[in-house]
Amino acid sequence: MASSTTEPLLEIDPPSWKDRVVFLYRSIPWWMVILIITLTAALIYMFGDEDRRQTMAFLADQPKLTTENKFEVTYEVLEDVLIVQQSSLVLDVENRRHTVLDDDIVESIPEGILTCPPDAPADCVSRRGKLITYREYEIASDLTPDGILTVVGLITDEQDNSIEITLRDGRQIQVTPEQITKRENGELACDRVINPLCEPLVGEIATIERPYILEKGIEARGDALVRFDDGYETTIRTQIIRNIDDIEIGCDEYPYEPCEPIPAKRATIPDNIVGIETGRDGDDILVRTVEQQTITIDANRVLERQPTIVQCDKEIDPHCQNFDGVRLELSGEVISGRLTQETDVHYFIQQEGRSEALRFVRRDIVNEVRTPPDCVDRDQNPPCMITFTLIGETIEGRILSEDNKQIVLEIVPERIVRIHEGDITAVKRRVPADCALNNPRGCNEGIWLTIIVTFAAYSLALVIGLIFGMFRVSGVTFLVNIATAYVEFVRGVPLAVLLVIFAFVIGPRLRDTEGIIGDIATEVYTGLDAFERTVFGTESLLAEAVIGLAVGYGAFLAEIFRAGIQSIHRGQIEAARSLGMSYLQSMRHVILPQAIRIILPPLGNDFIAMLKDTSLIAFLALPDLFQRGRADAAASYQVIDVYIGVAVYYVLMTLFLSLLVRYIERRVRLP
Amino acid sequence: MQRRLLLTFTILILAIGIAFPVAAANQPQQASEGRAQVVGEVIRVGTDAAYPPFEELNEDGEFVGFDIDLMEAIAEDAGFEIEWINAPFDTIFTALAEGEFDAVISAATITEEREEIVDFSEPYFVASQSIAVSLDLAEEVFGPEDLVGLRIGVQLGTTGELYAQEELEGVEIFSFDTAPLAFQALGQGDVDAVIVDTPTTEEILATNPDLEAVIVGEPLTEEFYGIAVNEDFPELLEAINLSLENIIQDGTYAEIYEEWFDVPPPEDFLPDEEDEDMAEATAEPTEEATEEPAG
Repeated sequence: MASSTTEPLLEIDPPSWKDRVVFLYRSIPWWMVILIITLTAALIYMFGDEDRRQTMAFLADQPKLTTENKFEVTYEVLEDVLIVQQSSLVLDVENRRHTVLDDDIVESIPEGILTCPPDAPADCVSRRGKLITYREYEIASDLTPDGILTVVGLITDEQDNSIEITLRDGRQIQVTPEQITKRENGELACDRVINPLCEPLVGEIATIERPYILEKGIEARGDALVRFDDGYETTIRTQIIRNIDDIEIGCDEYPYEPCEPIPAKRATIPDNIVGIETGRDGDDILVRTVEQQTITIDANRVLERQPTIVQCDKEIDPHCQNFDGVRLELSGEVISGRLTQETDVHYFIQQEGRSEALRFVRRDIVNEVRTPPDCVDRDQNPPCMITFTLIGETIEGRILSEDNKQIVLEIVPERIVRIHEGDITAVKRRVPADCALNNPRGCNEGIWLTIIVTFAAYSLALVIGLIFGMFRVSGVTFLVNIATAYVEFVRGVPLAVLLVIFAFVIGPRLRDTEGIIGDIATEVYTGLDAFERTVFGTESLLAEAVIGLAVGYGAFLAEIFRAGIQSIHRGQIEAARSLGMSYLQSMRHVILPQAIRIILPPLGNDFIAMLKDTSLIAFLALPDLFQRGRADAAASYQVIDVYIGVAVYYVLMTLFLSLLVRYIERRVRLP
Repeated sequence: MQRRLLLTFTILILAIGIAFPVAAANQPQQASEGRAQVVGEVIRVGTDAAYPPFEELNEDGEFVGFDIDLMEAIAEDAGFEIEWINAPFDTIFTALAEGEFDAVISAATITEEREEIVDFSEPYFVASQSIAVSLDLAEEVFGPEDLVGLRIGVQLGTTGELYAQEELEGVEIFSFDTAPLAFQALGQGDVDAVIVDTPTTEEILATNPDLEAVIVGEPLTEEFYGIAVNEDFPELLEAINLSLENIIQDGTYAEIYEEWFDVPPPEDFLPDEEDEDMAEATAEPTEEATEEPAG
C-alpha cells in the first residue's frame, strides 16, 4: 500500500509549452484564423517577387533606413554673364517672325502701333507693343534701298557670283562681286567680346556696301547670345536678363594692333539649380545635381566599347529611368598649338588652320611640354608653343548619332554645386526628399499620407462632432436647428461628392466672396496653405481634403456624441448644476467624461472607417495609397499585383488601428 | 480538435492555392471567343468622354466629338455597329485587354508600353502636348525649362503625365482623373501649369475663358493617336485599318476633320493625288461630261 506520508490527491503537471500552444490555438476565433492565413498568403505573394517588392515599396513611398537626401531643392541664383550678341524677335503684320540683331535696330518706341498697310489681306490686325524699326538687308530686287551701310569683313570663300565674307563678330554673309568696293590684304580686328585675347584676322579684307531697307515690327520674345565667365555660351530669352550694365573691354592686355575699346554689356541671368541638399559648409549650401549633357567624341579615341545600362540617380530623381547605353573607354588626345591664353581653369590653344582658339580644362591635362620651356601666353617672339595629352577617360551614355568620325553621346554627370547663401534670389522649392528613419518628414506619400490624413481629419472631425453634438442637446432652439440642419444635410451627401464640392466648389467660391465671409475664408485658406507649406513643403488640395473629410465625418460623430450625452442619467446633470456648476462646467467635468467611456467603441469604429474613406482623396490628385496604386497600375498595367498590394496595406493598417482602439477601450472600460 | 485542425489546413491550402494561380493569371484575360467576324456585329468601343473636341457628352448625354464621328464613319464603311462605353482613361487599356470592350478610341497616343498589351491601328491623328498656365504666370513661363519649382497638373495615365515625369526637373506633379478637372485646378490656383494634348487644351481654354489661362511655349512632343484593339481580335484591327484608309482616300476624313478643326487635315490624311482624279472621275461622270464638251 502507499506510504504513510501525505500525497496530493491528483497529479497535475504544470502546463508544458505544447499545452500552451494548443491553448493559444484553440482560443483564437475562427475569423482571426482565416484572416491570418489570407494575409500571410498575400504577404508571401507580394514579397516573393522582385517586381512586386518594388510595387510594395512604391506604395509605401520607398522607405529606407537612412538617407542623406533630406531635402529636394530648387534654388534660383544669379549668374554673371557677358552679352555677346543680342537679337530681338520681331513680328510683322502677317505674324511672320524676323530675327533682328541689336546692331541693326535703328529705332525702338516702347508703346507703338504697327498698322496694316493699305494692300494687306483682310485678316491683318494692327498690333501694339514695342515698335522696332530695323535694317533689313536681304531685299527684293524691285525695292530700292533706304540706305547703304558700309561694313568690312574677311573674304573666306570665293565663287563666280557669290563671295562669302566673315564679319568681325563671326557672322558670315554672301555678297555679289558688285557689292565689294575695296579689296586689299590686311588685318581685321577680331571680336574681343567673344574672346578677349583673340587674334586679328589676316587675309583679304573687303569693304562692302550693304544696301538695306527699313522695316517695322513689334517686338516678340527676343534672344541673346550670352557668354559666361568660363567661356560657355548659350542662347537665352532677353526677358530674363537683369541688371544690364554697359561696360568696355579695354586694350590693357591685348597684345595685337590695332586695338579699340569694345563696348559690351554685363548682366545677370537667373539660373535654377535643382537637386538634393547634401549639407552646409559655412555660408554655402551644397547641392548635388544631375545634369544631362550632350558631348561629341572623336570616334578614333574609342579604345573599347561595351553595351551597358546607364544608371540614373534615383535618389535625386525617383522617377528617372535607367537607360540602355554604351560604356566607352577613350584614349587621351594629344593636342599641340600655340598657347594664346592661360587662366586658372583653362588653356586656350590656337592651332593652324582654325579661326577660333580651342579651349581645354587644365584639370584634364597631363604631360605638358612648352617650347621654349617656361614660356607664357603673352610671349610673341618666339610664340609659346605647347604640347600636352588629355587624360583618357571612361564615359557612359546614350548614343544619339554616330558616323565614322564622331559619336554624339548624351551623358548624365553628377556634380556637387556650392551655392553661397547670399546668391540665392529665390527658393522655388524645398520639400522633404526621401522617406527614411532619419528623415521622417520625407514620408509624406502613399501609406504615410493615408495615416496622416486619417489622424488629422479625424481629430478635426472629433472637434466638429463634439461642438455640434453639444449644440443638439443644448436646448437652445437656434443651436439645435443649426446642428440638425448640418447633420441631416451632410449625412445625405456621399463623402466623395462632399470632397469634390469642398475642393472645387466651396473653396474658390468662399475665397472669392465679398465681405467678411470672403475675408475669413481667405485667411483660413492662406493659413492652411502656409501650414501645409511648412509641414509638407508644398501647397495642394490637402487642406481642402482634410476639411472635407472632417466635415463629412463630423456629422456622424455629432450624432454619436449626442447619443452618449443623452445616455447619461439626468440626475447627474441635475446634481452637477445643484452644486453650482454652469452648464459648460458640468458638461466638462461630469457628463462628458462618463459619456466618452460609453461611446468609445463607435468612435473607434468611425476612426477605422475614416482610414478607408481617405482613399477618396485620390480624386483630388493627392498621392495617398490608393492614388499611388492607380498611378502604378496605369504605368505598369499589372493591375492585379498593384491592387493586392494596396488591399494588403489597408488591411494591415486597419488591423493595427483596430488593436489600438481595443487597447484604449480596455483601459477606460467601466469596471 | 481534429476537425478544427482539418478545417484549418483546408483553408490554408485553399488560400495559397488561390494566390498562385491568381499570380499566373496576371496576364489580362482573353477576349470572349467567337468574335471572329466583324461585319454585322455590335462592337463595343470604350472612350473617356471628357476630352473635347475628341470626345465628350453633350447636354443630352450623347457622345459627340471628332473621335466619335471618325469611328462611326469607319464602322459604316466596315459594316459594323458601335456601342459606346464611357470609361476612365487610366484603366482603359487594361480594361480593353481584359475584354471589357473590343476597341478604344480616346485620343490615345501609340506608345511601346501600350503596344505590349493591346494592338494599335494605323495613326489617325498627329498631336502634341502643350503647357497651359494662368495669365499672371504667362509673363514668366516661356517653355518647359521655366516650369522648375512649379506644380503641374496632368491627367492620370496619359503621355502628358509621362512627359512631366521624365522631362521636367524640380516640379511637383498632380495626376487628376480627367483633363477638365486638371484645368479647373489651374483656374483655382491649386496647380500652376497643366500639360495636356494641344487640341484639347485649345478647346478647353477657348470654351472656358473664365479660367484665365493661356498656352505658352512651343508644342512639347510629336505624338500619333491610334485606335486600340484587343489583341485577340485581329479581324477587327484589319477591318479598322482598311476602313480608315478608305475614309482618308474618299475624303470623308477630311470632311470630319474640317468640321471639328476648321482647317483641312495634314497632307498624310488627304486623298492621294492620282486617286483623287480617279475618284472624281468615277464619282461624278455627269459633271465631267458637261465640263468638257466633246471634241
